[in-house]
Amino acid sequence: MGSSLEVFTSLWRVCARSAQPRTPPSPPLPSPARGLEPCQAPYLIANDLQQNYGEAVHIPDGFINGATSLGAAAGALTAFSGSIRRLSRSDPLLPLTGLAGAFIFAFQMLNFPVAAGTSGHVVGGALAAILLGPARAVVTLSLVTLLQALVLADGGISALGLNVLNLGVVAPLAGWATFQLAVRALPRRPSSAASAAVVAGLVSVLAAAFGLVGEYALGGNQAAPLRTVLTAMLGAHVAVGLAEGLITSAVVATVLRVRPDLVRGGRQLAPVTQTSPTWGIAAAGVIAVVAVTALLPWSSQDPDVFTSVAADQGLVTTAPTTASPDQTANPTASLSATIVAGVLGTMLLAGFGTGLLTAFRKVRGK
Amino acid sequence: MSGIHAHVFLSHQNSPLHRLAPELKLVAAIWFVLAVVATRREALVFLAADTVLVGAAALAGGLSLGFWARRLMLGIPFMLFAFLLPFVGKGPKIEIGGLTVSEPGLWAAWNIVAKATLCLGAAVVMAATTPPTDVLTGLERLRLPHFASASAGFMLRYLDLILDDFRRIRIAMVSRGYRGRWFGSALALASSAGTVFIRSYERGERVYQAMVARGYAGTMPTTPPAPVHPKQLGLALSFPLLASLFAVLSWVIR
Repeated sequence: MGSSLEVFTSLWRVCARSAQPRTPPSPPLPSPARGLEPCQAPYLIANDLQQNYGEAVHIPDGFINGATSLGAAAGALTAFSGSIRRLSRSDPLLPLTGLAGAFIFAFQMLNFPVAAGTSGHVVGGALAAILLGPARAVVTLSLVTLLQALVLADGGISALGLNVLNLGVVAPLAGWATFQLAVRALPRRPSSAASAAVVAGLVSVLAAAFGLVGEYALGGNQAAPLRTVLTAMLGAHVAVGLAEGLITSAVVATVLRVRPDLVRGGRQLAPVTQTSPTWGIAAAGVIAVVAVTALLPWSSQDPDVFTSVAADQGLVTTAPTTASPDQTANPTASLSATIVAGVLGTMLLAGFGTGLLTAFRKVRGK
Repeated sequence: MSGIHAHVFLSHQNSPLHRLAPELKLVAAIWFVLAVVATRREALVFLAADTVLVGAAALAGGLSLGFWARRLMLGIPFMLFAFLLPFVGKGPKIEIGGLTVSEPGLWAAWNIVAKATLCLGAAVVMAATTPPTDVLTGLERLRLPHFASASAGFMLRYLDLILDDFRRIRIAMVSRGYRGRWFGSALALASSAGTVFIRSYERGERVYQAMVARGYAGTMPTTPPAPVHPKQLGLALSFPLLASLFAVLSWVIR
């Protein structure tokens, strides 16, 4: 759940930032940089450290009950100690694990702009698995999650087992498995690694989100219906996972270009000259559409959250349902119409938001 | 000081809590968190007593009220889901302040908000009184495998350097006229991340050779822990013991 709710938190941060007087960055920048918006300049690290620490959202205490937390902790501990034992036997390379871990730690702290006016963080599970191999990736991400909980007070201490399981075990292993499958399935071309990395990033994020939903199903307070949680979590993480896949692919492509021997997952690939992940983007798009379609039968035909809240508060007299007369007559057509409407709506919204932000910047004068 | 910008969380003072052995503080914090999570959520009196305990720990650590305001605000994004629960929850509805909300949803939201805030308080007290390197020393004394604690030590030591690498690349790009648009700049950042990864890897190789040249044989040298004074033990464990007592009482007294 490392990147879940980050759209909300980064939106919150953007609103809070716009209300505060802007502080200048500490090193004096040359003139072309004057007027870079926080979301346009993606790496405001030095000034944002204080705000960034609060944004990597992990599961808090009190969310999942004790039995599930203990079970998750046991699972995470088993995977963690197994990976350490395997590493100690084969190639410990302690400073490498430490430095690579520091890189992943720093990578998780970076602000990536992902939509008009918002930025987010990536987990880096698939990236760690592709670059470092599965065992080292599990150790690295588990340690990063542990340090975030104990040193940065980020994420509940009682929920540590859950967070380590989702982010430190499930995400890298799912990314690793997907990468290996994709690389074998794709033609033996230099661009295969980048394509496979896109899909691996998406699947690792979806796997971590699914892990959270599974934990909620087993041990969450059952106040919110499982369907709502499932659709909300997976729906949000499809978009986040696509962004993570693209970013993972860009990093892997860069490393492959300069030092292909450092990519543990790509040892069998030919030396790389050009890496365009078009196949990967297409495959990731297909997976995203399939995930969204699979979720649609789950989403309720009952009034959605807002109309039901409005009905409860007496703001509307009856709660209208979203089922239209067409749907009973021809379900397949209405389903595809819903998908198309959803995609068009998202694109329109993103385009509208981008246009608005561009116009806003032009008005402020850059 | 090596390590991350710990001044965000660390309070540089010399209080009784600062002088405690780190493994005691870790055990106390974890035990306190488990006790709070085990407390019955409807037992408001005992949760209030736990709040008093956290306040007492903060006083013992010499932490001021202003210190708290900013750090507790960091916990708010965690609770977005909790604030939605009374509205999306099922079950019997009740009236609160003109709003009709689900009762189990309200209790569930209270559970998350109260316990997450209390546990965040305990974590902040521990983070404020323990430098990050001491946290690792404590973990090592609590039998975390040497490989893991040494790797985590390297992570804390080199995190600043790697973040500086990112900042240097960004300044170099910007001073050469780079102005990224929204997602394109994310991909440019990812490319610079690839470069930083290669630099980190090569730095790791150099560090390894330097360590071997200075006699590294597989384990890092550590100082033996000082014997634990019973007064230290008492101070550290009094908080979680009381919290456990409150947890038990909250289930016994209804």
